[in-house]
Amino acid sequence: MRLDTLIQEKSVIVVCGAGGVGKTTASSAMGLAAARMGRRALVLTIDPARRLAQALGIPPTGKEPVQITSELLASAGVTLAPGGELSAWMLDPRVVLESVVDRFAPSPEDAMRIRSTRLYQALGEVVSGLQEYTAAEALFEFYQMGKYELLILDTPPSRNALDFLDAPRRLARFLDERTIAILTPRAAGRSNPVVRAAAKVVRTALSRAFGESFADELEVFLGAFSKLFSRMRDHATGVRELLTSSEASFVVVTSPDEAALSEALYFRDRIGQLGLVSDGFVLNRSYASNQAICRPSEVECSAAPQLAAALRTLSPLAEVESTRLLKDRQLLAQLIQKSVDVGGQGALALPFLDEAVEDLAALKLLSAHMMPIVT
Amino acid sequence: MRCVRGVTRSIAERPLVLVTGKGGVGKTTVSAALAIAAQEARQKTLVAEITSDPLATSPLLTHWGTQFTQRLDQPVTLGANLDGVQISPSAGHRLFLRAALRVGVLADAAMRSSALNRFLLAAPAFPEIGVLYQLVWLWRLKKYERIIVDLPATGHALGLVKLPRTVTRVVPKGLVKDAITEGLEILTNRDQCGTIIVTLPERLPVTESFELHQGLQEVGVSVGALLLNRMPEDVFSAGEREVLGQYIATHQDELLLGSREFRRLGQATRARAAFYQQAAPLLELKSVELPVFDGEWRSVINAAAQGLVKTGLALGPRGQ
Repeated sequence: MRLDTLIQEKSVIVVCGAGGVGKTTASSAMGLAAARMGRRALVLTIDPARRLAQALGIPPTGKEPVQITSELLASAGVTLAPGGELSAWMLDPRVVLESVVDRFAPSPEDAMRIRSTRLYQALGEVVSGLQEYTAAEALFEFYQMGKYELLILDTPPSRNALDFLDAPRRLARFLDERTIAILTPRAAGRSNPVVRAAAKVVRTALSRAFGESFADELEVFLGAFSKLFSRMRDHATGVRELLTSSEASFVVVTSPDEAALSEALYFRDRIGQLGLVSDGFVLNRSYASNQAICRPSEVECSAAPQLAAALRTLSPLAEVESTRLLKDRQLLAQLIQKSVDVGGQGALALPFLDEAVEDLAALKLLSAHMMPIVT
Repeated sequence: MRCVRGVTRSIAERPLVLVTGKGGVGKTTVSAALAIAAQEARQKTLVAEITSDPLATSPLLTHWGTQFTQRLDQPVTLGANLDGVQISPSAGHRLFLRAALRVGVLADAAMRSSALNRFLLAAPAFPEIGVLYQLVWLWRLKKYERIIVDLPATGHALGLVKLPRTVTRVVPKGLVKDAITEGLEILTNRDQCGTIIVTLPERLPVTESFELHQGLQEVGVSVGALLLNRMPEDVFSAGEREVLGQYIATHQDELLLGSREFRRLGQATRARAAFYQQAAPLLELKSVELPVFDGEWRSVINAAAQGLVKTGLALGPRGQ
């Protein structure tokens, strides 16, 4: 797969995959590759490994993206092409939510009213749902801002990432007028008897399940919040349009692990079901990348008996590696086929690196695999 | 209800076990192995998997070789003494709507109401409320001696156990509040419930497992054990390691066959040392490891089940 063309041409790359396959690392390496190719790139990550943040020199929490300094890059021997820039942000759902309320509320008083409800305060403590929505919102916000040429979104782990893909659409449906009419009958539709009847059933269900006062409070909250809805809905539609446009690309990261692979295929299919195209797979932590392999030489062994003994102990591991290498190469071939089958561009194998991978130097090494080959 | 300090039940004896950890560490395998071990100990067991998509394929339950055609939101028989179930937001919502409206037809109508459905699935926290409600509902059946839950990846697992406090503040009363309050009591009762944090012998997963431990402690959920999964056997002497390290370093441009496995092993050994070092001050915590098991799924699970019995995370088989 020519990941370099995606990195060169797209405005948005969404990176998904099962938990623990190295999505954050792959996303950061893509960002670095883009910057090295002269683009202004922003990596948006959710709940990343703290050490990676350290390697990139960004704070674990912050209100806005941080640009990776040229000193830090230089310390790892990285030079960027003219115009190239790498920034990163660890997405904080609360910060995004605050900004949504501030920007979308018709007046500061409305914003205040929303903030003062208990439901809003509880919202900030909730992980799921909100995380997916805010990821989509932040992506769109940065896209509109136009400050960055390439946005790389490292999605939440595993199945929740699909919620992200679906979040804008789900939200758009949720914010449907009829839904609001049924949930806030006093504020909205009073005339339609069908709506009234449905509202009554829903009201009964909610107050029995959550208590009368909750149902009241929900109504007040949604009443206040509904003033934001039209703007939020516009954005939801905007996100959807952006993600389905040719400016956006989806890449699925996987490891050779069976569970990760089945998740990767699941993602490929789900992306297809959502009317989007998955551009390809990144096979991470495999032995499939093209590297020259050597076997211990007889000459060196006969000269050093200690080494010969150690190499004998190594030989079962060499067997294991050799078996896995063949398996991983077959796997890469299969992934290429499985991508091409759905209109994608194939698969790219990244080399196996050990734990040093969080270092900028290792990101540099990985990013080199994503850039055009210089001859 | 607080138990007397020092006589907390071991994780093997607690009726509710939550298996958690970072993605890809083997939670599903450990959950299945715990289920097999409990089954062999002749306990009436339920193994549950949390899923956001009901009716999607089940990574956990399909391993029992059954082709599921029915919904998995009600327990299905997997074998003698062993049932399996999928826990999902929408199944939980259906359960509490049925309880709220008492009339099944009305509940189904409410559930079919797209407005309510959308609201419950899209509004933050409501999916987790559904999951927790269903878990409490299964607990209330009093049908099982041991319930094993394969939790989703780290962040969401913490969200799930943090949820009861948020919900009880926002929702003043009603049957959902009652169920969530009961859920909180069960989750924080050290004799009833414990978590097993599964991790891998790699630096980052080890660090994250201790962060998760801290997070769970803060919300009052007992961590029964830390499990270092898939620990490879170290075959090298210190001398051999040194000689090989030097040899590999002098062959930078070409990869010595086996050198990547060698590095992987070195990495695992270092991570293992860090694991026990960080676990040492946590006196009440069982920290154990399982080796790498190869082969087809059933033999891996059986071997892992035996390993879990040996390490004291599961009860041993009871005789005929």
